[in-house]
Amino acid sequence: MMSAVQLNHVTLKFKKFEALKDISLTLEAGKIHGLIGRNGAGKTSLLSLIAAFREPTAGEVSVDGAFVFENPEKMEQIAFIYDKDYKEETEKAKKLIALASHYRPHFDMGYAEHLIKRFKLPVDKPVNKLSKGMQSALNVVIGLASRAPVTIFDEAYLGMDAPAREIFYKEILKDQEEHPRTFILSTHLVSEMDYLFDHVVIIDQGRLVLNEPYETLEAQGASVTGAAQDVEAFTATMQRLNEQQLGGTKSVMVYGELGETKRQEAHALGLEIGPVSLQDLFIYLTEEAN
Amino acid sequence: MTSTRSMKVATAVFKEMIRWSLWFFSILLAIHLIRVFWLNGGPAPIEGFFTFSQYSTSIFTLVLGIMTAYTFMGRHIQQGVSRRDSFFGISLAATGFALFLTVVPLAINGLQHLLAKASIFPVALDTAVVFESTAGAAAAAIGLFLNVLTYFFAGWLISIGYYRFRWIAGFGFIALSFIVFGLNDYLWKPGNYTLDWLPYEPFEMDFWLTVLGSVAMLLVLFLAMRLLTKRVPIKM
Repeated sequence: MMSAVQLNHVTLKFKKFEALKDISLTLEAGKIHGLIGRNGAGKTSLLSLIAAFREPTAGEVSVDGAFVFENPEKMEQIAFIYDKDYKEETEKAKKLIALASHYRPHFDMGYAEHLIKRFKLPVDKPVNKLSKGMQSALNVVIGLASRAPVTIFDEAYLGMDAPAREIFYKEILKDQEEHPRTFILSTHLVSEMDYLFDHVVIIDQGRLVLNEPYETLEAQGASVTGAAQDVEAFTATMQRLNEQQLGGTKSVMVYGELGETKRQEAHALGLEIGPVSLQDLFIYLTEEAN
Repeated sequence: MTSTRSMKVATAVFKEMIRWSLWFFSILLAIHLIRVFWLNGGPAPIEGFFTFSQYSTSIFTLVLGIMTAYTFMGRHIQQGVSRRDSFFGISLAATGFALFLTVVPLAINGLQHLLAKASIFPVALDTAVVFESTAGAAAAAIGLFLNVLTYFFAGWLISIGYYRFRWIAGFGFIALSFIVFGLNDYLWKPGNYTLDWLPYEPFEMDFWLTVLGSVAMLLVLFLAMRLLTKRVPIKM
């Protein structure tokens, strides 16, 4: 069960403020898409349109070719999990899980119970009495166990400690292998989550900045590591994203494709060429856009 | 008109409302029994449970209506239910619940009527006359059912006003709900109506005309709520 998401010239305005500006993109079915952007970039606005929480001001949002807004067949295929304010939620966690199973056609209660154990979620406690991390774990349990063909996690890990986040990432990969679906993961923790992504979308100030398969990002730049003086000379004319030095060894992230000649030159100088990190690319692209 | 998804919503919302009403009826019945056994104020007969609970029942459904936009609607959309299915589901649940809120006080009242014959109460209970402007349990039941449903929709109107248009416009929706209450009183409580700008022509001469007026008002409320919820953005 997986679906493709299409956005066609989508604009979203809040009175005079333009949260999304003419965004067109296709999120391929069965892939894990990373949606990256700085605070206020428009990530949540974009996701809320996909989940039919609101209508775009202009343009169309569709799933498998059919418009999403007020389309019951499409809406039930989309699970949008976000950092929900639970301070007024007095129901027990198990009640909210049962509610999701009532509405979600592909909900797997057995899997939900497995996840409850993995996260050690106290399901008999009222949700507003749970810690922030446990509230996030509850959201993740509902999102994963719903097995919606389009599953969206918008900063769903907030408040989770490192081991819990690790469980979350592992469960995404494991379940994607067994029950493939279209995941959209919106995050700030780029370096921690980049290994999950098949495809990366970067937005900044409501505009689409990058929309590429993760593998092709390697061609967008490179890391050059070696003797500090050689690295310095080799990258002098290049666009530097980041640099680190330890003793006489230096590592510089550069933006732009390295041609075969340059690679051979680096090899001759004894420099190591590696892939560019998504985090550095993200910082560079969003700073450049600003 | 109702899809499987609407029925799913209706079932879940109805169960939730019943759960809340168990608390409500338990407390109301306890207060009523205290009044019957200890605070009965002498030998004069006091009202049976049906008459006693009418006003509270209407206020209870008003509160449920006010909670509707915030409690149910966002939850439904988040679970992949369309606004249309959520609306029809909630409306169906509210209708079923209004029926439940009518039948329960009527049943308790009937039970009191039987027990009163066995003289187990320290004071006489007026359980036979259950609604002042009409005669008979059926008419009283229809009256309560329509009142309760009207109060629910009035509450829902207030909540969607606040949910969709925020505070200042929300006050406007409170004012609208007062017009609804006024018209409702005009129809159902002759002599106690609050709209002094309308000529008073008592309807009790024709009970069914009152029912027709009440149903027409409910239809207007129903259509207004559908329009107000049709494309509402969901709060996060």
